[in-house]
Amino acid sequence: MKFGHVSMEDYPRVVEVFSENLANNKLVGSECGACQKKYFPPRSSCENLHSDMQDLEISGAATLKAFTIIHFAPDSMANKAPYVVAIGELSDNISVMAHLVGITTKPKIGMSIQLKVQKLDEKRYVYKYVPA
Amino acid sequence: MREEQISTVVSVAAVGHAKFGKRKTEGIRELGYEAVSDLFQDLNMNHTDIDATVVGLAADSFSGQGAPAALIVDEIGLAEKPNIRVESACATGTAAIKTAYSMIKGGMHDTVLVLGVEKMTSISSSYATELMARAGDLRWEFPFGCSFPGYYALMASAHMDKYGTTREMLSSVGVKNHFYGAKNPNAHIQKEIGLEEAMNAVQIASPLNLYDCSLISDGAAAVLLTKKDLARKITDIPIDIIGIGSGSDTMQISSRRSLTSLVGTKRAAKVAYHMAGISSQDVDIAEVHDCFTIAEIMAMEDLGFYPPGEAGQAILDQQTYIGGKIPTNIDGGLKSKGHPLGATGISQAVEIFKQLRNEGKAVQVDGAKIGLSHNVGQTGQFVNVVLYKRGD
Ligand SMILES: [Zn+2]
Repeated sequence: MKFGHVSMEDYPRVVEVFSENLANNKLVGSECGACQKKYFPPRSSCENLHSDMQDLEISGAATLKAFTIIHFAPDSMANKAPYVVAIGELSDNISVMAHLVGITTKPKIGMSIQLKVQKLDEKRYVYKYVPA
Repeated sequence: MREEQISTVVSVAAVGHAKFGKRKTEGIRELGYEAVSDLFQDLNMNHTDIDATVVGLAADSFSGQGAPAALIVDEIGLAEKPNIRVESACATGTAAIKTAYSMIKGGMHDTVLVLGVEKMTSISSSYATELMARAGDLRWEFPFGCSFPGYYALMASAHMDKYGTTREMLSSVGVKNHFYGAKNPNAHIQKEIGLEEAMNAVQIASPLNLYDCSLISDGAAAVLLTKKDLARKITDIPIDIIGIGSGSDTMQISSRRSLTSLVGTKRAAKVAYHMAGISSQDVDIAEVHDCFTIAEIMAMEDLGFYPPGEAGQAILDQQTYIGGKIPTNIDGGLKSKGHPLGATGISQAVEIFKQLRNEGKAVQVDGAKIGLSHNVGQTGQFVNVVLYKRGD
């Protein structure tokens, strides 16, 4: 299972597992068993050098913090432009970048948005924001 | 450290600059050569009299040359001198200056040639956009196609929302920098632009349009750093480095608490001001990292020249022109002079050197004594602030 509209990395295990979860319609980050720091998307270890990471399923409810409409895209995304890249603030001090789709008027910072699983094809998944 | 080293003052003794722009017929070696030969022209020392070189070049992928620093020093006949290559994305130039400063301060070498070079225009601008997008987190940011302008556009959207920063304020940064760039023979685009024109340019990553973005340029710049007593043998007016501070921030932009300032700039400035024993009010001329118009607005706030949210209006009111509160980027900045990554921070030093020595000719801040250089890598993952003072 692959992640993202485009990708450069070979798929490390943590991304592989994450994408499997997306395919099952689950947004699963990680929580450190030692210091309880929460991450989304997941990490294989904690920034405080702890390695006991556990799954953390998130709801995806978020507030729009910043956004841009990419008109002139990197080569690999040129066929998808224009698209909206947004940063949303979820709970637990987690903020996440994703495309914002399904909007009919200009997005407003502070609006409620929802992070959702997006299937790109049979083998490729990503997450996206939609208006809540 | 020996006492002598602690009291060592490191000075800029000479500077050189290549023409920035689309240098179709020159590669990295010719660009480096141009800056170094400009530096040693009319100097009472040979380039082979230096002790070591520090070369700043940010991205091999643009020119295609691996180990570019070795190639460049060989081209200028310095293959036998100790050489080190430094990289900190767009802050590479000041990272090179900091490295050379530390070498001299630490007693490793006395006289170090610092050279920044970048050749960026041999690839298409869409491929350049692709390469720069790869400097975001490849795993969790790149898959969304956030271009480099996109990152600053995200910050611009937050700044506009929080402080009411306007389209007009953003564009006024570009208008000012082109006003001065038009007077700089080394600038990439020597042309003034109108506010109306700047406001209505084609969108790149909204709210940022083409005229909010700095240029993709080829270029090189060089400074000669040495101990002050040695500098005096080379010039009557050495320019002393009185403060250097560095700051960083998270790799992913979404991990940051604030999107309306660069915390790395605040950290770097605090350290540099403290080391120099001055405040922002003592600075006579500023060279700030205007990779995008919003970046100059945030820089003026983060460096302490204006309270948060007030720099946009001040720039629109022309407070950052010569004669205003704090003349900023009067060489055209990254916007009009150009932004060949590895050369940018060193080019800032070159402009400050000239201004503090009253050699600005048509564009001169009268009586300038202290200059500030602010150089940002990526979206603030690397920030250096360097303070220079006229040392005669
Ligand atoms: Zn932990």
